Amino acid sequence: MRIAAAFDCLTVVALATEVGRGPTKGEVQLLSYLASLLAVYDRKGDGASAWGYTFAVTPSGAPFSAEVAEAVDGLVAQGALEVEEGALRLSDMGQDLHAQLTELNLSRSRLGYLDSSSATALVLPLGMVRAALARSPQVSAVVAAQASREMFSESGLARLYEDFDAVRGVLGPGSGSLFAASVLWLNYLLERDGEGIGERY
Amino acid sequence: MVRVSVNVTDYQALHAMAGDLVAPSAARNFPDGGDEALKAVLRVCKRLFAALDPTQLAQPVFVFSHASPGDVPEEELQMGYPITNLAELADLRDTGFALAIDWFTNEIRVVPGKPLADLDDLRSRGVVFIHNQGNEQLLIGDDTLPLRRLFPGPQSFFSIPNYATLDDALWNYRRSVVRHSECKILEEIWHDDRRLFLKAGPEDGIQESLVAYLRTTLPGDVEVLREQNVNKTEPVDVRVIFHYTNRVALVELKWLGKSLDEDGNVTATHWAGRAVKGACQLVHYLDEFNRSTSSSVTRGYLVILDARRRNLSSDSVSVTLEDGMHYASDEIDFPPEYLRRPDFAEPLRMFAEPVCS
Repeated sequence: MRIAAAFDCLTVVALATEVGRGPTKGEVQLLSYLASLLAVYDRKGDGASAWGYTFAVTPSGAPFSAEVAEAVDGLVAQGALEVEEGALRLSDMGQDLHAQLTELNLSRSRLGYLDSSSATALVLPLGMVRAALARSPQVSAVVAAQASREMFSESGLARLYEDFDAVRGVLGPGSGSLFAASVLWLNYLLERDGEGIGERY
Repeated sequence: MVRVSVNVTDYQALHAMAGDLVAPSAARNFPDGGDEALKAVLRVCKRLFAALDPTQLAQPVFVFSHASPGDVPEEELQMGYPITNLAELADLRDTGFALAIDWFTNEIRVVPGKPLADLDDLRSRGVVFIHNQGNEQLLIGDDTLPLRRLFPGPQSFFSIPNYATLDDALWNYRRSVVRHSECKILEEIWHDDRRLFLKAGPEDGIQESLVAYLRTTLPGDVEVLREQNVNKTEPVDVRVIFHYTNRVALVELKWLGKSLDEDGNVTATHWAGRAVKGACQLVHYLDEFNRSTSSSVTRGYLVILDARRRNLSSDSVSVTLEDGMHYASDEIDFPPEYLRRPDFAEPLRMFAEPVCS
């Protein structure tokens, strides 16, 4: 099990359960993927390779990381995560493990991305987040090719950088707010394809 | 709503959008700490309305987080008392209260009955949330951003229902949204305020409303897509994909009733037979879909928005209770061979009530 993927799973579950229902396995995949995109946004290109594990797109258009899936299953098997009616939550052991992993340098650098990704779900329902990400340059390029393949292809990245440069330009070069970048970009993707809901938050 | 162009990043649209959104507002108004203050406020609001029923809050509630916790005036730090279990705030529902969050330490203090300080002063220092009888807004610096709910329900933006299954979501959509057209999108499909006639071509609005509702209330591993082809030429209205499983739902939407154009001419009249045709169409889609994707377990849903009224002519401007509600309980008979199919869910007729005189 990759430490980065395990830390991401535990963090996403911890942040979600702090405010409500625990996430499903699919929601952990979705929020980890959004966090990896925020790393790309923040590091201006370095993020994709530095994230520590990869994502592919399933034929139905969902971001999927085998490492995240393995981490969730492994953490459930170890007893660090518990599942109740599909929702994940940290056991006492999982809380201890999360606290230990948070101390690692590797984890500290990821926390901001995961925190902003999870906070996005406070203003946009996860179904909307998923609908927006399905319209992102990365996912739509793969879905158009009708195959499950790894993301961060060169052409997909070029379009992603174009979007991110525009978001950075609007927020101002001095703005380091990943939360603002995430919310703005996802709302933009929804409205670009006429999928806006008539309200913005 | 600003429509933006496809495939080219539209700076102008992004700029316009950023002015409406809460997270860019916090980052713009408070470059240092606005982000954290907003996240802290949102997280506490989510916890607060999970612990309290917003309909029982008789007085305003304020939630505030200073963008720079280190600069909080001493007298404010002494106000109220710390709280960890937000359910205890139920005792203050008749007096109202203010919560002050220190996003750096995560400490929450509660002050019964008042908003800590003058609102203009507070908003100039951080993020303020106000809940007042179901009206909610965020004050961030110079920005006032309403948190309007797209769908009816518990009186808070933070209390959006979450349904585990598509069946649950559809039944609740029928009960809480369609019955009185309590959704901004559905409000627009009517030709008149009394909901006697639909506008010409209401399909788009009906589809848009249902898709938005399902995306808002179903878990994040469910994808809801509009107008998806089941084969090369035939689109079903909505396809619901349950990611990471092999489950797929096809939803066919039909409407019944009369539609009028802007001049008041009848453009279409649909009765029960159209619902039966919809069922036939759905069965065909299911067969086609199963032929092309044998690996999926598919289930078909027929959703009927029923706007039938009795004794209505195109120049009617009102309807009696008896005529308006005549079809409210008028169930439609579908071919039994369809209903026996394991992949054909029981058709869901959603009666949209008129305003009767």
